[in-house]
Amino acid sequence: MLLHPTPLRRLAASNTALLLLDAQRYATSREHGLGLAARERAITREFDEYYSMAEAALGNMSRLLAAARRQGALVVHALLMDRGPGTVSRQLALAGLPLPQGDPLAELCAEVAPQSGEVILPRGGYGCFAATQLDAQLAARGIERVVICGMLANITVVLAAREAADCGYAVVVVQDAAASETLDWHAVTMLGIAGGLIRVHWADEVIEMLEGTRT
Amino acid sequence: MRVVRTVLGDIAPETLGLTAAHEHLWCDQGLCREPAFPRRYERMRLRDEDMVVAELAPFHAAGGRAVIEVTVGGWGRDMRRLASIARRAQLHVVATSGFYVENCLPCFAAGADIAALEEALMRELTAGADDSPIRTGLLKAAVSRAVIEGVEERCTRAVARVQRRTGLAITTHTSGSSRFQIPGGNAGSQFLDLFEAEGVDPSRVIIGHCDENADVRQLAALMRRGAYVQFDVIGKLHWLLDETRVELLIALLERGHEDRLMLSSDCNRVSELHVSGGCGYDHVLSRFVPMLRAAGADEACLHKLLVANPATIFAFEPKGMLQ
Repeated sequence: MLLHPTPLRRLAASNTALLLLDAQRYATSREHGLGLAARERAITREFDEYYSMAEAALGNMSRLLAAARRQGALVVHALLMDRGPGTVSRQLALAGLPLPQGDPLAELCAEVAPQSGEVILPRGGYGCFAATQLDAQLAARGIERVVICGMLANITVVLAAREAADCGYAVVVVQDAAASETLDWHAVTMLGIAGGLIRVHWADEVIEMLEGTRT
Repeated sequence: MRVVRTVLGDIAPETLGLTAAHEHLWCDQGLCREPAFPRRYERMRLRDEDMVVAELAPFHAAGGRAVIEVTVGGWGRDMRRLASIARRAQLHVVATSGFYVENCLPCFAAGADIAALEEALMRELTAGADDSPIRTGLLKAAVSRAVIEGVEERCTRAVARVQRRTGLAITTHTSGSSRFQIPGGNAGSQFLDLFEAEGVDPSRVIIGHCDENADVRQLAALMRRGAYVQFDVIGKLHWLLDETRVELLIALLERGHEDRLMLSSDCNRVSELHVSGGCGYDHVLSRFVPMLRAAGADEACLHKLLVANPATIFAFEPKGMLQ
């Protein structure tokens, strides 16, 4: 047999979801979130690698989003948010990441702004699946394959990928539509996540898969 | 009559000598198409003839007489340059036709069908490559993912069909998966499945990069099917420790596979050469072979890995337009 158990050449819109993770201002603006924390510690330069990846990743997330919309694939926008008492996990609270509903830092970036009909998935824990009803929502729509991108790759993207695979979905992680804390971490993250139901691809490849032009 | 086809002409297999079975002397990964995304890595690039000739001197001094150069069209192979290096370094150099990973394929390959890919290879093998009359003496197939699929599958099938027409050996690049991503650690068994389906004799196939994500069971199984298993990134310790390589090789030798193993170091970056403090082309002969010897490999066995096996697999009988 020549094929891997999860060959993916064509991503049919009917059973594919694009999961955009935490493309919020706190994670993408050099003036906020990590960038602000770095400046306060006087280590701004240390996050140049992250923001160079995040800026490129955001552009590729936007391209993936456009392709998914053109093909009619389900789009899910996951975001971290404190929606009031009891909605944030202790683990996330300990990370010091308060993103109250209505806080401008919790807003999704304009490049990947949601449209009507797309799923908005606020959550108060790291795991997209553990902290929400995402699995049930995907299953109800007949989704079998999940394309995952976003920030931070070495934390939430790999977690979402493993959760999705544990739930039985075929997973594609888009390595240039995700950003890790450093270039080295990103390389190791992408090397380590591939396997079983999880594959790692470039955005251009995934767009071709979505559009059916990959030969 | 069987010959080994070098860039300076055909030679008798028994004159090939101590051989590095998988190296690069002239290559440029900068020619490959890569997504514009920040990454930190040193591209595979060797584009300094004087430096490469100087780096080959320790290899020659250690007894090395032949280098199998596995750069193919699409990322900088230059047959005239290889011929010049071979003359200056006084080494036999065998050049390669075939296809590397998807993003390093020649532009025409993406939209080409198997027949067109096959004919492109045949032109190199019969008329010469890189706008030169110099002919290649080996075929290559590659995979960049855990699965042989898409254009890489078409290229691999084209290589298989050319092998059947020419009798040349096929060497393979299997670095498409991480350590535990697929059973066996690399795509070696997938390659053999595909080649056998195309009618290729597995004894004409080299599974390369077997010392990246090694699994002794898979390596033994590949050799039981008749293929050659190549430990060709010796000295690259981010894949495996050389001590682990020695243990694997001794285990395979104890199982009687000495007729199917070959060694090399796959130098393709300046940082891997002596000029940068790297291991250099002579690492296998100068440092690794003594480790193997100390672990119990005898001289007859080492001769097979370094001389006899290369002389067998890289030899072919030119017929028709290949004469």
